[in-house]
Amino acid sequence: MALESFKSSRPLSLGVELELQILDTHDYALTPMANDLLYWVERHPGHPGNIVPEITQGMIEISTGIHTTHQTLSAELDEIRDFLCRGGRELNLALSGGGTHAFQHWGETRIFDKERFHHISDLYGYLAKQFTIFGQHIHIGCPSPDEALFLLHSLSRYIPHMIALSGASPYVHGHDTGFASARLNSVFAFPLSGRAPMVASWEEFGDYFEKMTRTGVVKGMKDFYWDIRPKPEFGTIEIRVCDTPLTVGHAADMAAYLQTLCRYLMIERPIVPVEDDYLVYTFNRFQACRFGAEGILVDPKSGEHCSLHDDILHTLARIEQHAIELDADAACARIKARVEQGDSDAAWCRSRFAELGSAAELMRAQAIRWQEA
Amino acid sequence: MNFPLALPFEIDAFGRVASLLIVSITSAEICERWLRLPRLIGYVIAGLLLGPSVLAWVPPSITGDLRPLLLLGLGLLLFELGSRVDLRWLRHNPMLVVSSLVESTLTFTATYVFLGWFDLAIGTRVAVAAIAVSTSPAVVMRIVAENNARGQMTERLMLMTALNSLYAILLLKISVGVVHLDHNAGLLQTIGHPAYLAFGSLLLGAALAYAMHLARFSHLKRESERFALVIAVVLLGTTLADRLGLSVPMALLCGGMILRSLSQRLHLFPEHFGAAGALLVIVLFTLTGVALDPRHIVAGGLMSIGLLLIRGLAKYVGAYVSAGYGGLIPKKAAWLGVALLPMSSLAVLQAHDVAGLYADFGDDVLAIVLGSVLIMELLGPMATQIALRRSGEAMPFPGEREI
Repeated sequence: MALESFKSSRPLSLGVELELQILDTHDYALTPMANDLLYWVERHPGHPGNIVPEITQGMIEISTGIHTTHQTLSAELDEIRDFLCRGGRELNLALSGGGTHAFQHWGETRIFDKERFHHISDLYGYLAKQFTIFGQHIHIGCPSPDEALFLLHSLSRYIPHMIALSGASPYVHGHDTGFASARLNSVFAFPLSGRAPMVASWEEFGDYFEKMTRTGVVKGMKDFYWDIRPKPEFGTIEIRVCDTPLTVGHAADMAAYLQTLCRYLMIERPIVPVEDDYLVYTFNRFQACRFGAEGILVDPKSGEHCSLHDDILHTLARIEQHAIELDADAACARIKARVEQGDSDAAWCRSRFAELGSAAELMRAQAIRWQEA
Repeated sequence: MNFPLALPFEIDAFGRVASLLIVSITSAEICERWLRLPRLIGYVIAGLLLGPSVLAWVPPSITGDLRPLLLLGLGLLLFELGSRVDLRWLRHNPMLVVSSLVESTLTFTATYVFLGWFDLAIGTRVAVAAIAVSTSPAVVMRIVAENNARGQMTERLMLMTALNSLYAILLLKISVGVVHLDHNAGLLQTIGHPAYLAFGSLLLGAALAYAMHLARFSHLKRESERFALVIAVVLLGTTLADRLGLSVPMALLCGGMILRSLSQRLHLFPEHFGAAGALLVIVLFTLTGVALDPRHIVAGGLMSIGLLLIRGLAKYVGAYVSAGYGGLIPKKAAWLGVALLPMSSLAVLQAHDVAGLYADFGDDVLAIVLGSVLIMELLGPMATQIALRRSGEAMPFPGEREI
């Protein structure tokens, strides 16, 4: 199967996908009610957003349309959230953000009945069930495939930012993992996870794709579980490292930050991507997963170490003008305030857990936060 | 010489209870492992076999001796069921109330009309029809737990079971009121008795819930102690309801429901009651089996079987139409009516209540109900389990492809 052609799209246009947790309001475990919720959605034609199943029955995925500013994106996310929460109340289930379920054991999850999901489950075994994790994917529109690849590789340096700012999965199986984003550890287990190959043109990328399909390992782009991957049929690149935040507001802010970064990279072209950028990629990524903004960031060229916290604030200062141009300055200011105050979704989870005393109560608090904020 | 071991020795009460438990567990294992039937059918069969009506290994008095445990087990399940019902859900989705009323009204009317073909007093017909309305809370709670079922049908199954049990209790008391009229009692007594029962049980339930709610502030960290507290509350509710002439099941169901509305916090209710709870469940269902008597089927005869068929049809149609209209996936709506079929402990208690109050009319009720219960004790759990599995809401068996 040849790689499809890359559809041009409006530069810096935005779209967001969020994977949500479906919780039982009795004990706040994941509950296999995706099909019930989807049936409810079907019965309400003309609803906002696009709502589809995910690999296990305790998950559901929402996605927005295409936006040029994060304000309209945020408004649509609000609408979808309100709509789905109404369905939740009618069906006696709760929805929640966060990258992992705090106490669910992978063995208790159930695969959603769809051919592709059964195929993944058969191939990957428990990894598939363990994949009951919840991420935010952000799409950024690119005018051309080469521009997309440029952006993809330039962004690799900022992947730790995205992880640190969105980390919302400190708990797994009822225990504090010590990570800001434990979710990504489940992604790394997949053989085709990681980064895209260092190629600069769509033609070269097509060669790589063809070689890979010839090995029989992959059939389509969907089989790559990369942190950033091109999505030719949308004409976008898709950033997949973020945990689903605890609120839709922060999800929109994350999209705004990314959009601003991309504008800066596309217009100022401060980076020429080279393979050596990836020397410390996995190390930096680990630091961000483990320590959030308190982690360190290593510059592959200079070998300099600095804190992610400082690097994010520094970057925010440097891209301020682009934020103003995109009308994203308020969102970037909120992100700045969080970093300065040491606020994060992971920290919120930890403090609520300490206060409430159990993982189930934490999940209830997360569900309330999702619905109300 | 006085040898301390006297042979052959008499097997005393302890020995009989012990053997009853062992046979129960064995039979449950056989049901689950080889027959893929619900475990509780195994308990019931063991009780029936060892009970006075078949092998007579255990004397009839055992039911009386272990009655406190039986009531406690049933009380816990009722209280747990109540606590699974979130009244706010009804506010957000009023169709649920409609659906429940449709299902119950249809069941009541159909069975009442059916019983009109036989030569029965009105009071008897109303009483039996009322008992037919209720789905067994104990069976539903256990089958849901055994199958680790979750989903929209399971939620509705528990909700409708709680509601139709409440309707059944009320209807039964009203039927007692009708009998009062038959027996030329005053109007005040006719209306007064059911009203006292309803409001009294509700108030008692509220008091229990409030006590539990207050106890929340004591922050019991140990699950085992929280369980002990729940037992204390259930015992208290049982004895108070008894003393005050109120309905025990109603007080406990209402108590659970009110507790849930008072507090959304999850601390208090231990999951499925652990090991001690498991013992109570075994006792509850084994003793239900002990109390069964195959001769009841003969006594109830065609009437019992006809009653079950009509009741089943009414529940099926009522649940299917109303739940389907109310937004449940059609495939699940089709199974909901099947899941609602169990009829047991609560029905037996109610029948005995009526029989205790009015010997002449109570005996008719007993005869019809006990025959039906005997059949449903075995078929009901199977029906619910099949419904949960076919609707895809039960946890699949290991290795089984998930639906």
